[in-house]
Amino acid sequence: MKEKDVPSSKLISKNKLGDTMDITEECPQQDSSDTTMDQCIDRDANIAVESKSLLDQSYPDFVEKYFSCINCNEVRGPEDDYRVLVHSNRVCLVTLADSHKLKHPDKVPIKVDFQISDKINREDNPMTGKGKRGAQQLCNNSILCYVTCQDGSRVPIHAAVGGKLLEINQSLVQNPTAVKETYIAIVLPSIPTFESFEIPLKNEDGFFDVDCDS
Amino acid sequence: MKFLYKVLLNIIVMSATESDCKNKLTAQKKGEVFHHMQEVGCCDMCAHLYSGHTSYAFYEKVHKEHIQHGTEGKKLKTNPCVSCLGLLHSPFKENITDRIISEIKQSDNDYDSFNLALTLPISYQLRAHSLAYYVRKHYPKIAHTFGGKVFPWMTVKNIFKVTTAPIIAKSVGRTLNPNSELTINVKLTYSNDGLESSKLLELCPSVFGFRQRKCAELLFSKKTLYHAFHRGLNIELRNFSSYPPNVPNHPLVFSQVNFNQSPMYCAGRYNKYSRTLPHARWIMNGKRMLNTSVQELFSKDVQALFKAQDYTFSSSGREDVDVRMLGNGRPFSLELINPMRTKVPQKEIDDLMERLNKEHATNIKLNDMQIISKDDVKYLKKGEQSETKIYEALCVSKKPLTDELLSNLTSCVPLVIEQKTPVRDLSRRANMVRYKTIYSMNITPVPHSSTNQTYFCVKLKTQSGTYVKEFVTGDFGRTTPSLRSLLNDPDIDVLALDVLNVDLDWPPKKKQILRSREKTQTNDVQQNTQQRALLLYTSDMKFDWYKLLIQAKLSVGSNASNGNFIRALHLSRVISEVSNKSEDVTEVRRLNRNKFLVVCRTAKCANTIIQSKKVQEEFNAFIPTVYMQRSAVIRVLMSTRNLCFPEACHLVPPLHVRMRLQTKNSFSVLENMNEEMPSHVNSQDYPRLRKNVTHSRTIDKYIPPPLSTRTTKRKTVFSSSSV
Repeated sequence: MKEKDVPSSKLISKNKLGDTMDITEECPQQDSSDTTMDQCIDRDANIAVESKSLLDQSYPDFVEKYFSCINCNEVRGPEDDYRVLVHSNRVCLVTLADSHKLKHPDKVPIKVDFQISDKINREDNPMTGKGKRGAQQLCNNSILCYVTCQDGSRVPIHAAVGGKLLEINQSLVQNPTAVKETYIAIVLPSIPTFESFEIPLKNEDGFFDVDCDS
Repeated sequence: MKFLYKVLLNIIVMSATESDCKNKLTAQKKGEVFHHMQEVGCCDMCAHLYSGHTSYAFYEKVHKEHIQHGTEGKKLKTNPCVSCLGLLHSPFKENITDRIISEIKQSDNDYDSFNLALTLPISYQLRAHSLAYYVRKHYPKIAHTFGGKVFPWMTVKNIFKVTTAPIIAKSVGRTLNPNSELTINVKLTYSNDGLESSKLLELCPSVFGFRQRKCAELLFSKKTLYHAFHRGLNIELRNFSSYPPNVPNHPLVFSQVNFNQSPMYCAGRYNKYSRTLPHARWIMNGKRMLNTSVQELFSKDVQALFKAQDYTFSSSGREDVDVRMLGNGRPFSLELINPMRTKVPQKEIDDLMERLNKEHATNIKLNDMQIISKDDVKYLKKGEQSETKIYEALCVSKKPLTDELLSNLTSCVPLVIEQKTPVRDLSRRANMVRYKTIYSMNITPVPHSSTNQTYFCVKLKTQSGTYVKEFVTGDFGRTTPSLRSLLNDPDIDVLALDVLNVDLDWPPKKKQILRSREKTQTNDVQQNTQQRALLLYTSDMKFDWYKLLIQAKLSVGSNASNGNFIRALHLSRVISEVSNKSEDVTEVRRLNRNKFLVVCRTAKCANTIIQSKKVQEEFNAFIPTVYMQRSAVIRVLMSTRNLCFPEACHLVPPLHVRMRLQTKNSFSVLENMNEEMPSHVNSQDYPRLRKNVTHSRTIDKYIPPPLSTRTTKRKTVFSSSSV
């Protein structure tokens, strides 16, 4: 009952008065110690109440929360830099690094072409099943697509990580300018490749976080 | 089932009559063989077996006589029988049965009935084969009763089941039932088995040499022996040992007994209150992330309560580690494999539930645990696709919420979203697009103190299988539309998520379901005609073809199969009469014993068939019920994929059809039935009949099924004769 006097109870009454009433009823009768009481309220509480500790805090970005970044610089030639988002389940998203030449403000992409050669088109990837069989195999310098810019230049985008091509971002065909922001391809690297990544521990500037107890 | 029963009865009757006439002819011969086999070293039962007795009743009679007289025939040999290695005669028989009885009595299993299964050594198979050849060589006419095959139809196992198994059942206090959920496997070994069967390897390396390399332990099995016997290697095989086989020095010995109980199912609902508790074991990169999981918290205890060997946990969907499961809980079922306790009272389950709830009060709570039948489990899996779930998500954004946006949101439901497999699930699921429906959406702002962030609660009612977190964040644009795109705010994120409700009636109320099932079964046919006959294809529904499902009464005619063929033909004739233009009806197909499918090209034609009394009256056996199958398919498509357009029709390819009756035997039936059929139909309407069709199976001589399939059949025969 103590909880009700805390300022957050305003919130309860605003949101869901009915639910809070239920909470008190559902408390087990036998244990009336304060700890179980808290637990009980914690258990069935409204989501806003339950996670009130999360409110008014800075929260990590969606990308930061689930992905770690590795930078692949100068894959083929200068200014050919990529930022690869690695999920803990080995799936990688290839995006352009800020230092990539396409990120220049004067480069305006007008067309994205997935037809790499006469035979290879990244858009038709005959992958089936959860085993990802038949997926196109990529090396780290395989070309994912060609981006044609307004000034007439044709820039190839490389895969940066080798592995199976799970998906190519097809929305880029409609919206070529999105190349600068969103992912270009989803790649599943082989286990040895994945283990060779030097994944920085949630730190973007390339330094490892080291625990210093002293 | 009824049909099968009939067939089985027929087989029994047939075999009985068959053996009766043979008996008259060869009664003397049989006696001769009987004595000869006894001299070779067979026990009474085996001697009877090889002299060609095939009825169970005979062996039961012999067994009773043995008990009455106290002895087994003339002499009690000290050595076991050549054929059965002591399984069927004392004193070795008693040793085996006593061990079986004591093992069953000692076991924890408490099921009322049981079925006995024997595993005999390979030597037995070889000996039986050799002896059968021996009999055939000396008495070719007797061998004929084996049914053309060398191996006799009856086996030692069957005789054991007829004679000794009832005694075991009596002393154990359980009933013997071949269809029982408890199977007791008794393994018998023979000390010279390895020596005798190793000769096989030399004799037919083509069969066993290959297996020797592949799997050394299972070198000889019933199946490989069957292969060997049927590869023309008989001549060599029959001489595998002394011919007839030598008299064994050691009897069969009981080695082990296995209890095999069919699985039981325990159902319930669980709540999850922890945000650090995975649904199942969470292993990442070979390392265990968290110590427990929902299923591990209580499954072990339930398993212990039922004394089961193993368990499998299945639930209707699953939630993430950091998601709570509130409300009335998520339905689950626990399959208990090989349980020893089959009669656990509800009170014990309740007690266990209470105890577990107290123990894990902070993490989980269990509700409504009870034992359910296997059929109900299907209901859980079925519900997994159709149910709806209510979620509540606490979201955060950097922009303030305007009323305009909120009203936009609430007006756009029901909303069909396109979800590609999210990145976080991409490693274990196939990459594909799934269409999910969001039925309702409510946003309530949450008051807070910070200035640059907005918090709000989203309450969602969605189809099962929707990835809610991805619906909010958009998952790099792989879920469209998402809350980010709907609110035009790229910074929305989920802070916390709860499942408030899983809309599935679980655990099923047993009695109600049973009652409703019975009701539907009895009134099914009548109700269907009244309700469905009214369903007509309306003019606004335009399809390439129209399907009618016509259902016949269950019990018509004695010879069920033939009757149906005739009816299919007759139906097509009646229909072509009714629907004036015969080209409108494109197909009449027999789906199963009493269901027929009629495909029409026009709605008018379909409607006339539905409405016509002729189909119902002229052919008394028929009660037409109508499915608008085509429109149903499209409606399903519309609901799942939001295809509310005429294009939906193209998803279902048109069927290029012609008049056809699927069963070929129907034509041969027609040949015999010319007079009874109405003659005013053009013969050109139907495909030509093939002449000289050899279809009928004459039953002058009964040929038993091949060895491998025989055992199951014999079991059922055994059941009907013993009951």
